[in-house]
Amino acid sequence: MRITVIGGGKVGYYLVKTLLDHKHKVTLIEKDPDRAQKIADELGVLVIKGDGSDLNTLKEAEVDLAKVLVVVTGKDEDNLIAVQVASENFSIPRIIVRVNNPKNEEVFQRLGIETTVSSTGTIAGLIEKEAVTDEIKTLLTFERGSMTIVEATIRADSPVVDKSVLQIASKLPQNCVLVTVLREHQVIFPRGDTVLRKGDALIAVTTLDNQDALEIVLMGAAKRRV
Amino acid sequence: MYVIIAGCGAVGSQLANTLAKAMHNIVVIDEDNKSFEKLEPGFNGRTVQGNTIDLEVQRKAGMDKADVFIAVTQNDNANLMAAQMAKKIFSVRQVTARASGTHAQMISARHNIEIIYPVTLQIRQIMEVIS
Repeated sequence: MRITVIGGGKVGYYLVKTLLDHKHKVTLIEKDPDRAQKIADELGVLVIKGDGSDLNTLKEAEVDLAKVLVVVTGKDEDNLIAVQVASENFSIPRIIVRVNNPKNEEVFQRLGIETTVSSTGTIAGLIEKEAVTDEIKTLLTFERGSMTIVEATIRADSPVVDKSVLQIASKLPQNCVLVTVLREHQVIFPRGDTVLRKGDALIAVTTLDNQDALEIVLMGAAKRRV
Repeated sequence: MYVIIAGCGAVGSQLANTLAKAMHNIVVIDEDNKSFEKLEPGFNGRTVQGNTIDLEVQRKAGMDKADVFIAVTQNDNANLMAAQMAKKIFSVRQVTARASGTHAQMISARHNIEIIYPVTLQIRQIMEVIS
């Protein structure tokens, strides 16, 4: 796949390297001439020396042929303008942009930039996920991390043990759906009359905001997170 | 009138000094506290130290009640981003940014931001002098 990367800093450099390993056709745009030369020599990749927010540089890099544009300079203002210039002038199927300061994620969204990647945010999210106990596990996150699919294993002292789905339905937080009950080797699609038992693994879809509330309903008062 | 100026360089500081004398409510933002030394001793406006594209800094400067925002830092893209924030997030009526290049024009048209082109202005002035 043809991919253009703007920004040859630490993130950009390793990204280009990884993309090349995966046999993608990569073009890099880097402002600093020394750095551009060094990366070109070292990785044997086409490097355009120039400002990624400048239309002429983007044209020179043939951004219009790229399937994906990844903007990862260390400056949020440069990333924002580069994305705006690129999306205004070319129809690139997918544009991914890095947000350095987590606070700017909201700003980017309000300025109309949807797909942002925040390394600080991602790492913080991963640590938080690892830090939770096994009571409720995150299986998958989507919609930029705001929706999750979780798995909770019902214990003997859980407040929902031996209760039917109908009985607990009113206690569940909003925007949360019980999808499946895994009982031994059986897959049960829960209905109102399905009774939850000790040892059941409950799969639910929830918004991230409601994950804690869901855990309290299923497992009792939270005794996790230090 | 409540005016916020981002960037206390040669242009920003003089603009602030002039506007403050005209009895406007002036706030100047700059990353470097030393830049504020360019303001006159009698400057009666407010200074905010911080990054212009930081939402908190803009809030601290009172962007939500500003009538005018002028971004004249040394960094074109920061000016353009700060200006968009002022317009889109805080709905400031009159927003101006100093920038150059074709992308400034495009952003100006799309986001209703006035752009000051220093290069164009200088060339125009030189042309006036020599013609």
